[in-house]
Amino acid sequence: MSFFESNIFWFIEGLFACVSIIAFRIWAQDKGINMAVWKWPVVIVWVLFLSISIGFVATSIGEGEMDAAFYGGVFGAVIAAVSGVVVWRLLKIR
Amino acid sequence: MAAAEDTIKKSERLLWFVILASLVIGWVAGLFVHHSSIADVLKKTLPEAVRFDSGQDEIYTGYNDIQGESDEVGYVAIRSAHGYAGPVTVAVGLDKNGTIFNALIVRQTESAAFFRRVVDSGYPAKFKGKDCTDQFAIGDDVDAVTGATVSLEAVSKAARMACSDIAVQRLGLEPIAKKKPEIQFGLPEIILILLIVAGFGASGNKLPAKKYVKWGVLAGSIVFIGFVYKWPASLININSLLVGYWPGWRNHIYWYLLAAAILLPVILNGKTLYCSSICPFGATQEILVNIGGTRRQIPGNCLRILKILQRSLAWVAVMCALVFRNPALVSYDVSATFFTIIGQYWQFVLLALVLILSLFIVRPWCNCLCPLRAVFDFIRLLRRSL
Repeated sequence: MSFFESNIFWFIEGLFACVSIIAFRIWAQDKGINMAVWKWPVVIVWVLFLSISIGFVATSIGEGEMDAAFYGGVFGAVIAAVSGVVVWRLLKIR
Repeated sequence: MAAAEDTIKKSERLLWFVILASLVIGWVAGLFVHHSSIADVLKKTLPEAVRFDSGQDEIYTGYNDIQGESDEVGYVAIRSAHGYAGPVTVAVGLDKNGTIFNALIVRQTESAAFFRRVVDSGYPAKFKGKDCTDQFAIGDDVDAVTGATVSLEAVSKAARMACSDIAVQRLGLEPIAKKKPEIQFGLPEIILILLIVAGFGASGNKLPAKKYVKWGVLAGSIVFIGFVYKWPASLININSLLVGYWPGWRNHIYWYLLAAAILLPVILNGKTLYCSSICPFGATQEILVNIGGTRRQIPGNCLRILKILQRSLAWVAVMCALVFRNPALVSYDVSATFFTIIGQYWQFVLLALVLILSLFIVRPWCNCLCPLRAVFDFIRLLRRSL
């Protein structure tokens, strides 16, 4: 069993996720952003989209599908940027 | 003060004279540019023929000299039809039974990324084995190519004309009843006229509903001119006009309407109504900058440098079109790439940059790179100086 399939990997992964969420909350407080309940799913969906886009590009490169990596990267970057601005404006709503 | 204005006026006059002179020189130089020789084309189209004879009707008969006797191998005709940017010329070789032996593109001036789709789909070699009396109708006996319909129509039409001429003039077949091209005036033309009228009308009045009409037209242009009909205006339209590749009006009314909407307002009163009212890519940038909510302008010094770049690139593109008689030779427009998702790799990268920048800056493409804006600036300079 490799490290990436072991329980310890998922434990560390969960630890990082918790630290990231706590850090994001503190950062939002510092910026004066009120994190209402409905804002959390919005942020999580956006972070998931970004992660999947990066994952898609990396996997495509790994598989030697450079065209897919290129188009996935370009479309992913544009959609992530536009939706990122929308999410940022939503976060600033009081 | 008056002396300074006089100096500016003089330098503007000198500038437009230099640009105009360079364009005229480019156009004249284009007359002497050498294109591929007919002999090479004939040999490739009908390789079995040793020599070719030429008739009065531009149909070449191929002969195979066997033991001193000369036998007819087949016939080659070269015909052209108007595509998106200009004529597409196709050579078709027929054997003595009227079956297509080979077909190839002699010359074309379409946008590279779009025409590659036609070639990658196997055209015109796919016509091999077809009968000279076939109709070459897309969707019927010719498979459609998504995203390159206009170019494929031109290839098919040129091949049909070549086949038909050989069939009648060499094989003695009955002429296929030639239909006079019908006037093509349908929903795309009607929608374009409505958008032009509403867009231009809204920009000229002070009604309270002006804002809503403007946004309605911009949204309509994105949907219809952009995504549905995939035919926004570009420098290629202007280049086609300058080079002289004017398509037949009967089935290109949309083309002429678009050309009139681009050029007439700026020629008549110096206003770029197309850009502000109905340009679908301009509308996309407007929507993005409203999503961003900042509406920043490019700083003055930076804008001046970018304007020089914009006008220089446009000048190079027009000059190349004139010299090489190819309206789409230098095409860096990203609006077609956005609406068709067809383009070169660098066009996609440029498009992504423009779209992301559009979130923070007002119309970065229009202000910094759009070649049409540079042409409009030149026409306005011409108006001011005259």
